[in-house]
Amino acid sequence: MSKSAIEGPVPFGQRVPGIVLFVFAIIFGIGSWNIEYSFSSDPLGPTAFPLLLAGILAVLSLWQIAVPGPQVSWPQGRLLLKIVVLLALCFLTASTYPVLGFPVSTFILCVGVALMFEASLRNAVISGVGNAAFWYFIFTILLDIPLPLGSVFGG
Amino acid sequence: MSLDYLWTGFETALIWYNLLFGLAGCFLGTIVGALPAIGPINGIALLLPLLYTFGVPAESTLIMLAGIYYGAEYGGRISSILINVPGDAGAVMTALDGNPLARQGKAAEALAISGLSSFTGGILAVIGLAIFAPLLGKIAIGFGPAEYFVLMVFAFATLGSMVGDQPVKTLIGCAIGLMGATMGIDPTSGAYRFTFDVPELNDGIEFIVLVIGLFSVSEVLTMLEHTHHGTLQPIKVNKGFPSWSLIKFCIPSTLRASVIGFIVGVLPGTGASVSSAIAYTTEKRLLDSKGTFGKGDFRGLAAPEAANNAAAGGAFVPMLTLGVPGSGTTAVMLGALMLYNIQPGPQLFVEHPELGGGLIASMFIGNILLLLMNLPMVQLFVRILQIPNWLLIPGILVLSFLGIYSTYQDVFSIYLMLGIGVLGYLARKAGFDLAPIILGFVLGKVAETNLRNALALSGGELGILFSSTICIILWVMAAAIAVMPFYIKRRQRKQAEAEARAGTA
Repeated sequence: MSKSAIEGPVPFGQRVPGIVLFVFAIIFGIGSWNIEYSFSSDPLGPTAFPLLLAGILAVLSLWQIAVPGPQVSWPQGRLLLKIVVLLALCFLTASTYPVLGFPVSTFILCVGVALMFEASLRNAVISGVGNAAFWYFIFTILLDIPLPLGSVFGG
Repeated sequence: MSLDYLWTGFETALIWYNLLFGLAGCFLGTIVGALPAIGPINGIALLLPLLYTFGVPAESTLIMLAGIYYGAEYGGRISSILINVPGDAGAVMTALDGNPLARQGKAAEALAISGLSSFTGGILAVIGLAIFAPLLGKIAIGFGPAEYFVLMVFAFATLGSMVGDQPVKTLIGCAIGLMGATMGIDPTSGAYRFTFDVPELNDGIEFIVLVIGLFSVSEVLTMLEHTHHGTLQPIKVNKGFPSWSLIKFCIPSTLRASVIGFIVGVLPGTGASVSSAIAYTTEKRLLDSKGTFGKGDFRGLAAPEAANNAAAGGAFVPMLTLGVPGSGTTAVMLGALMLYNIQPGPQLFVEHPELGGGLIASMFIGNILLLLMNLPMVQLFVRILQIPNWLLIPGILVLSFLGIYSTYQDVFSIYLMLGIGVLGYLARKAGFDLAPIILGFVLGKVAETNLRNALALSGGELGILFSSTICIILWVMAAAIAVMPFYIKRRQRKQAEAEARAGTA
């Protein structure tokens, strides 16, 4: 694992999660307050419980800001890039899934991910073909759950 | 007290397909437990949509998912012992003495002793479950909505004080989970809550989407940090089997640890990892006069393994009888039952004897199968341990996509899963445990419904939450358990000071 470049205490960075949570609690609270409803058969109604939770989270996150706990190391550099690429690959796979179909999009996803886990090109292709074939077999033949073959292939 | 439900249970568990689901669950569980990359909660998250989409009946689903859970507690020891990397959270303590033993050339004995103590812990826990679940169910039958709501408060208090070393983070996790559960149309008033005019969110976040996002996608992202570790080289397993005197040597530790594990498992929110840590430290304190613990003491290996298996069994007690899961993994199973519109609770053994009884009976059978699988067949799992990440991780991702897509047939759910995965990853990086989120989510609707029903009964009077004896007992227990960590910390500090003084003397 690459050592993060941060040296010494980073007081503010550690408080970021707490601050984000506090802001979220406030937004959630406002959202709860503004839930529209005409009638509820119980005295609390649909707003009280979310409001209570928003209040609890607000208090807890203030506590978290005050006492942030051990240092957090956020992904940086190469790791951050890898994460972004992996997610982009996932979103791309998801959005092209109905068009390219299961076998092709799975192949692309697996080759990409395998390469990110330091497979050689040969092994990445093995992973792509292997995973596509294996899961296609499990789903369509064993479980009888149809998978899209892709509209570009007329599937 | 009648154990009649167990007969129904065995009838259910012995149906051929339930035996098959149980066997498959135990087998997959051992694999999932042995693979350091994934634990039982990931395995269950990945498998649940398949079982659900395929229309597997509720009791068979529960039998298989439970098999994965307690099977993983067997499998986790394999990688702890042979590669010094715990296969799952419950097996962290197992590595302390297990790995030194393997390096001394006693891998076979270590695997056998830990297998036997896993079995002992597992079987004793099932017996405990069979006895205590109906008993607890009887007590809980008098619970009204107010009692249930306070019970949830108690559950969150235990969770906060027992899980992890940062109670505030655990509680924040619970709160986030509870908030997530409020999304969707409110059944009582018909109000749209946090749906953002997205019709897909009218039913709230689908449980399967949340579970796969949190426990599969975020796991894959976390694993990106360890890409260059290469393949794991397990220590070669010698031929051998522990002598009877060695087995006898470990029996007291195994039995003590089983009891500790079961009790810890029953407590809501605390599972295998907490129990094995407590069992190990207890044994170390009791027995380690010569300082052999941590250097390859068989008792230090037997104790955590017995405890984590016993905890896995114990965790089912509150989950089945109160509807309050005893661990993150049982929380996922509770959510799974809710998908089938089954709300576990005191009536479960009356209304669904095939479910509660079937599960318990299948756990008897499953533990025996696991012992057989884990003693002679251990080499097979060692082989599986060596599956390279470039094959395994794409497979996990494909299965995540397929699970969501085959259940909901829409791409929006996949986007949501990925988004939740990113949030889960960030939360983990910030030091948050994900299990409390899932517990909060699973309990959210129940907690809110009970609170609102209680106040509807009392006409809005909050006093109803403090009116009955059970409520007051639960409040007191919640308060006691909430202050416990502070007390323990003080004692530990005093002990450390005393040890430091003894060390200098």
